[in-house]
Amino acid sequence: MRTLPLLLLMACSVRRTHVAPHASERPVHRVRTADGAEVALQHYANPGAPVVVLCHGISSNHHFWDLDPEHSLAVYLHDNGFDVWNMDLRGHGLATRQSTGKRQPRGWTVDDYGLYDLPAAFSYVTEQTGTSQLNYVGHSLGGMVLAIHLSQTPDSPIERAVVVGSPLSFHAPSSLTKMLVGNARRLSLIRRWPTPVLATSLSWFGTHAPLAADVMLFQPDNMDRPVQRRMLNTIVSPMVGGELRQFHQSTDGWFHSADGTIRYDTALSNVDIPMLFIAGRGDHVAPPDSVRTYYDAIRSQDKTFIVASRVNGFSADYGHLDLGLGDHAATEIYPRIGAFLEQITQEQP
Amino acid sequence: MRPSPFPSKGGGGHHRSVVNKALNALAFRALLVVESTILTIMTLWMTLVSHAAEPREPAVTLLITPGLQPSAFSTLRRKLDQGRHPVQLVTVPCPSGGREATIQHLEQLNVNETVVVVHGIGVPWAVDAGLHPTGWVWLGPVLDVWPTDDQLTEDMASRRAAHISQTYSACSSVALSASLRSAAERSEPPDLRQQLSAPVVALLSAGDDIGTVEGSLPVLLTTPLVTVRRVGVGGWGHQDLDHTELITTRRGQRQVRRALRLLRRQQ
Repeated sequence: MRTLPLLLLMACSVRRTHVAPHASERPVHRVRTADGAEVALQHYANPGAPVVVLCHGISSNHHFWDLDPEHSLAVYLHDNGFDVWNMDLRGHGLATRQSTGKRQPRGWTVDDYGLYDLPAAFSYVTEQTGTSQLNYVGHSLGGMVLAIHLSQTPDSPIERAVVVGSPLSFHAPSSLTKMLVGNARRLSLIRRWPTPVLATSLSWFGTHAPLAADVMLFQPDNMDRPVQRRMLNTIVSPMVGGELRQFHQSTDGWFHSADGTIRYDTALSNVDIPMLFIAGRGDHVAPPDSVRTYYDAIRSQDKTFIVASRVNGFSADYGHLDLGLGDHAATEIYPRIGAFLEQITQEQP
Repeated sequence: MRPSPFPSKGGGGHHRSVVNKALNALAFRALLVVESTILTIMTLWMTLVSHAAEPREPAVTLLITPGLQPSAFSTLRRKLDQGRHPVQLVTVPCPSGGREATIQHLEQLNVNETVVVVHGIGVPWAVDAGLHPTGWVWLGPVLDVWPTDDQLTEDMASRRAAHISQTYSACSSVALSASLRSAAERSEPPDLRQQLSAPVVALLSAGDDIGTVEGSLPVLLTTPLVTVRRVGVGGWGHQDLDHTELITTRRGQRQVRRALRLLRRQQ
């Protein structure tokens, strides 16, 4: 019995977020937000090219979009002529602490990502690149914070956006979502959830994970074992109580602001930018119906909804994490994102 | 001391009376045990007899989805039988005579006092037929097949058509595809609020590519009488169920029985 805590401690001690070896030459920019926090942006420079900002999901970090050269949307878009900025929201990855070594200000919620982190990052990127408009790709929570940003910022610089596995409703939730949303208030009492340790433990179980924990997050058949292990050991950052506290407002099945006054699906009715929505048939965190809520919520006529499933010609029924890191994501998901964003390049004079 | 008026017959008289008393008490207790045992057995017997004669579970009308082999429903029927649900099995004909002909056939059914268990494309037809059961269990309802049909590439559309033909192979694919297409080509999702008068438990699976969650859930959420349950991955389940597996697998069948229990509680 004494070995388990020891192993957990070892797991804690060996993991730390760093720049992946293949991306070590990419500069990291740190940007201060209006409320005193800090976000990090890793830059895959392509001067003069259309700009894309990438954003990770809940309890994740920038490695989600850049795990290794074979599993990297950042590298794919850079190689296809985009100026890519891969972001870490406050408290995640390279922005776990501020550049001074101080902790990020406590008590933030999901709203703060959309109201402070995204505007700060967008403002910095437009200033650095000299462009007035940019594109955005968000996974899971990364798409939800875009909804917050778009609903509250009428003059947003976003020109085109792709959201991958981003839910905007939680109706008839799966057991994992039910557990998180139903117990959000109790769970939020813990300020920082050690999800990286849980992920490392999950990587040891392999296909024998208890309570279908692996299948809830990704489709094991759609991801090589070494990639699974690397992913679980790399892309996970701690989850904070404030995020969970906000999800407590979602017990009615809709995504609300932290104070419960705004229902974001209704607040998006004025959004008319072109958007691409990608959902996975095997995604149990953001099932296709919850992504469709997002699709239905925006006013834009130029919107596309794709379900990544075998019947639709994909090699697998994609799960939540394999939408970005699956064995065939580089040939099935990235090109669709690239093609959608390239339309802006073609439209530009 | 005065002598006793009764003649003494020796020292054993006192002992005999004690033994007699003990024997009497023992016999009385034995009688009580026998009586209570008989009563218990009789009570149990009566309970069993009444239980067997009058099932407490609601009667079920199980509609066999057109296009699916009736054998696909045999295990579900057996499970319902084992659960003491009187089951009426109804075969819905293929829509070769058009969707209206199938609906007319369904209109003849007497499903009063039963719960209708129906699957896939059978759901919109059964609702359109104006059936009035005491409750509904819907498995993978096909309510809005292609919500973004205009965005399908030709390749995707042909793959989907092939998948539907393969799943509903017992009917002519042309007739069935036409019916599915007519369900999908509605300009607006069906308004179930006007057509439903009994509670519904809808079982959806993320792995269902025909009665998709993204197609049916937005419709179901607008209907107050509907309770939605997801079947598949979750808890100890490691696998999603496809459109047919909602009927043929133990996991799907167990969920049907749970849905029936839920309906009984709601009533």
